[in-house]
Formats: sequence, structure tokens, C-alpha cells
Amino acid sequence: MSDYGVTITQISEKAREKLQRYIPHKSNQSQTGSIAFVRQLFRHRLSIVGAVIIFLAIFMAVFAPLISPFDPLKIDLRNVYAQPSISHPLGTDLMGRDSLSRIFWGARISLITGVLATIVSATAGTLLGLIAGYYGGKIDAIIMRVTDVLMCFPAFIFTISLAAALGAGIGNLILAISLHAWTGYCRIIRGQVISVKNREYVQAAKVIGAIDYRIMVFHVFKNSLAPLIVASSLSIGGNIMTEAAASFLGIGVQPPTPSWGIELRSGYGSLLTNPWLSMAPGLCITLLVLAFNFIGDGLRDVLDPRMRYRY
Amino acid sequence: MKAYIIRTLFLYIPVLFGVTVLVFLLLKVVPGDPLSGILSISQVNALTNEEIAALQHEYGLDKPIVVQYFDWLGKIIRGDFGTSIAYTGQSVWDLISTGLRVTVPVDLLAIGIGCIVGISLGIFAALKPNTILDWLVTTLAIGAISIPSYWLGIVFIYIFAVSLHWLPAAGWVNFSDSPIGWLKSVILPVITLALGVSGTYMRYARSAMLEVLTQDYIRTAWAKGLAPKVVIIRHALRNALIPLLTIFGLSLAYMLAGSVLIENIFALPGMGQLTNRAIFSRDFPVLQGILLFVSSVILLMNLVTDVGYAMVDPRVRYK
Repeated sequence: MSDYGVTITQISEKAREKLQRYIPHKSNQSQTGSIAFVRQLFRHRLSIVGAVIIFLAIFMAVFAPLISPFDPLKIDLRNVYAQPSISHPLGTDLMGRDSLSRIFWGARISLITGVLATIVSATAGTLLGLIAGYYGGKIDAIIMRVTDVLMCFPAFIFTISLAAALGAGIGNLILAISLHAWTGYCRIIRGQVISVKNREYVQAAKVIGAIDYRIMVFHVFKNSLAPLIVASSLSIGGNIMTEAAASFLGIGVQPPTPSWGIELRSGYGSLLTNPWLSMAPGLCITLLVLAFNFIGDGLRDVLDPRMRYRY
Repeated sequence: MKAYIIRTLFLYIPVLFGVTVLVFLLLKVVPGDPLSGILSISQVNALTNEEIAALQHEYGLDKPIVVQYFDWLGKIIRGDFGTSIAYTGQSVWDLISTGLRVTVPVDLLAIGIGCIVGISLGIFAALKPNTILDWLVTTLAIGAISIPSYWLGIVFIYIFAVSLHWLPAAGWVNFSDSPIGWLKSVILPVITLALGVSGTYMRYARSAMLEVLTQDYIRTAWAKGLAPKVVIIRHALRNALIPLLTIFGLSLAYMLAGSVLIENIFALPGMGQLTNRAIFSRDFPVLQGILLFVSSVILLMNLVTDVGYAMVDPRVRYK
């Protein structure tokens, strides 16, 4: 109460009680750092739903060898397109492989692609954005023209064309996603850098004699973290969607590796007789993408209060 | 205004140039023989070394890459997009224009429906922020953009074609052959695409409207006693729609990308299927043509948006 101490002690107890109702609770307001952050995030109900789904997916991915009832690659041609049963809760696919086990293992591909592609593109985009925004001039012009050109292509068409040219496989897919996705981060960071680089605290750092690297990392980058985190969490969902779609088309991960996109494709072939073979992987993709979008929205609300009523 | 348009046009020329360079380079990163950009792999394997060298000379593949680029660019400018590898002898431009006749009506219908549904729901949500309606719309919008369109298409096929037998599962009927058959064949793809579009528009419309409602001129409009209808429609809505112009180009890009998957599911012989086949058969001249076409359309849409923006919002012109 020290902020209000002088005025409050001078008025009567009753008035003080009344006033306190309007004074924000110290315990809620002054909490800084991670505790307040987590607490605020958890007030955003959909973020909790998202966190639970992501936790489940990570659990599936990490413990896939332990929780899968069968080997996801084991072919059993005497038992193809089996109906759901106790031993095969989701039945078997066209080669008699256990569908549930393949879905557990598929979580690995989805999460790995989603996260890795985000890390690669966010790192590249951040670096280029920092350089473009901080130095300006010719470097800035070149980098921004490159992003302009890339943004003329729809991300998905660009990614699958490039992935097709590079050849199938998860590594090439991640590369193809990143080669387009860095542009978004680059623009966000560049915009942030330009908006903060003439602020007093950056000028002060310069006057003290801080080197460019130090100013960029400690003064400029740290103040640009919020939009970066929001964009990353949203883009993990987007990348998972791209991987699933590319694998669905046969460009991404190659069979027999279990991926939700591949499961969906092979399940689509037997929609009439075994609809759950395509419903289950599709539901998994939807839920995981939804979860990352929920978290992204929650993060935006918490990290950037100005955006609370937007989007 | 004229000066603004000319200035904007000049900004687009280097970008267009960059797009052609990138599309050209895409073919060059293909691992393996440079001839794989012209012949299929089995054809290349059947040739002797002398024949390969002769063909490389014929197609100018032995020239420096810069010369090759300008040769290629010259052909593009003259309207020669090359010939397809997979559909032997067919010109790329013919394939694209045939595909467009299928894709464009479907995409336009989907954008139309998606815009109307999305914008109206978004605006209703913005008028009653933090209510159940608002919460429902926001959640629905996140849901709509999180569902993979192709899976949604499969779910619709299962419900409306397999279970209820209301509509055909897949396939294409020309409008000139049977308008009703055409409508039946596009109804599911259009709804599937429109849902994704509406999700995006809901979010943007809501945020744009909320932004506008906090402006001073809205408070003034209320203060001078205008009827709520007038304040919301004439003062708020008209200004809230301006930022939505920018995502119109975006939604076009989304549609063309979405078509790749949707047309695959519903077996529509449009641009999306063409892209798919081109990727699968490594038909790089077709793929180049498609990429060039799509990016030019997006560039043109951006230009139209920029100019349209300057027309409706004079402040932009003087920046």
C-alpha cells in the first residue's frame, strides 16, 4: 500500500475500506515474470484446452513404442481392414497394420515437423529481420525485396512445388516449409526493430558504447519477443497442417513411415467400409492444429494487451 | 491519384522480375540431369550420351545459366509457356486455361459465400464483445481455420454422399452439359472451401470493427444523437470494411492453394488437380507455368488492392 500510503492514512477507516475496493490487489498486480505470465495464460480457458491436447500429443509421440499395442510397420495380410475390436481399437488398414499404433507413431512426425520447421524459419527470419531493420539501407532493401517476391507465392503451393523438386522426405519438407515461412518472421522483427531503434534506451545504449550485437540482442530483440512467440505458436499449427497435407498428397513423408496425412490418404480409399480409418487421423490433425491456435491466441492476449480485442 | 498509381506500378516491376527468376531457378534446383526439366526420367535414361549432349544443345542447356534465363523469359513474354512432359505435346497455357474454367467458378462462389458469412458473423461478434455470441464466433473461426480442408471434404462426402445419398461423392459435370449436375458436383467443394474462408474473414472483420468502434468519429456520431443503425452501418461498417480489402488478395491465394487438396478429394479437373499431376509426374514446365500464373495473379491482386485502398482512403496516397 505504500504507493497510496500518504493519502489513505489521512482519511477515515471507512473511506479507506471503500477505496481499497478500487485499488488493484497488490498480490495480483505486482507479480512479475513467469508466475504472473502462466497465471494469466491459464485464465484464458481455451489455452488450457490447447495445452492439454498438446501435452497428450507429446505423450503419444514420446511413449509411442510403449503405448502402441502393435508394431506400426508390422504387416499382417491375413487381417486386412479388420473392424475395430479390443485388440485393434481402430481396426487395421489395407495391409493389416494396427491403425491405433500408427496414429500414436504419427504424432512424432507431426510434432517434429511442426516444431523443427518453426525453429528453422523463426531463427532465419529473426536474424534477417534484425539485420534488415537495424542496418537499413541496401541490405534492408535487398532482404525486403526477397520477402516481397516470396510472398507472391501461396505458401502451400510454393512448399509442395519445392518439396517435389527437392525430392520426398521429411528433411526436404522442413527445408521447403522454412524457405517460405521465414518471410513472416522477418517482416515482424524488422517492423519491431524499426519501431524501437530510435527509442531513448537504444540511443542510451549506443552512447554508453554498446556494440551492434549487444544492442540488437539485448535491447532490440528482447523487446520483439512477444510477437515472435505468438507467431511461432501459430505457425507450429500451420506447419503441422502443411506436413499432413503434403504427406496426404504423397509429397512429404513417405510410406511406410506412419504420418497422419498418410493414414488419412490410405483411409480415404476405404471410406465406404472403414470410415474410422480416415476420421481418426483427420481428427488428430484438427485437434493438434486447434490446440496450437488456441495457445497462440492465448499468448497474444497475455503478451500483447493491445491486441486483446483484436483478431 | 495518377502519380500514386504510377509510383506503385514501378514498385511492382522488380518484384515481378524476382518472381520470374525464382520460378526459373526452381527448375534448376531439381536434382539430376538438366534434361529432366524437359523429358521424363525414363526418356532420359533411354538416351545415349551423344543424344543427351545433342538434346542439351538443342534446348540451349549448355549455355550459361543467365543466357538460359533470358531465353526462357523471352519466350514467356511472347506467351510461350512451353509444352507439357506428361501430357505429351500439349501447351502449358492450354492446360492452365482449361483448368481455370473449372477452378475459377468454384473459388469465386466459395469466396462470395465465405465473405458474406464471415463478415456478417464477425461484425455481430464485434458489436457485442465478450458475450456468448462473441465467444462462439471466435471459437468457430479458430475451428474453421484449424480443420484441414481435405479432411472436412472427406467428412462431408461421408455424410452427404455415402450416408445420405444426397449428392455425388466426387466427379465433375460441365455446366454446359447439365447446370443442375454442375451445381451438384460443386456444392460440397464450395461449402468446404467457403468454411475456411469464412473463418479468416470472421477474425478480420471482428477485429476491424472493434478497432473502428473505438474511434473518435464514432463517439461523435453517437453524441450527436444518430440512430444506432446509422452509426453502425454508415459510420462504422463502411470504415471497417476498408482493411478487409487487403485480405481479399490473401484469400485468393488461399483458394488456389486449397484447390490443390479439394480438387484432389472431389476429383475436379481444375488448376489444383493440374498442379498435383504436375508435381507427381515431375512435369516441371507445367509447374513453372502454374507458379508463374498464380504469383502474377497475386501480384495483380495486390496492385489492385493498393490502388483500391488509395481510392477509398485518401490518407494512403500521401504516405
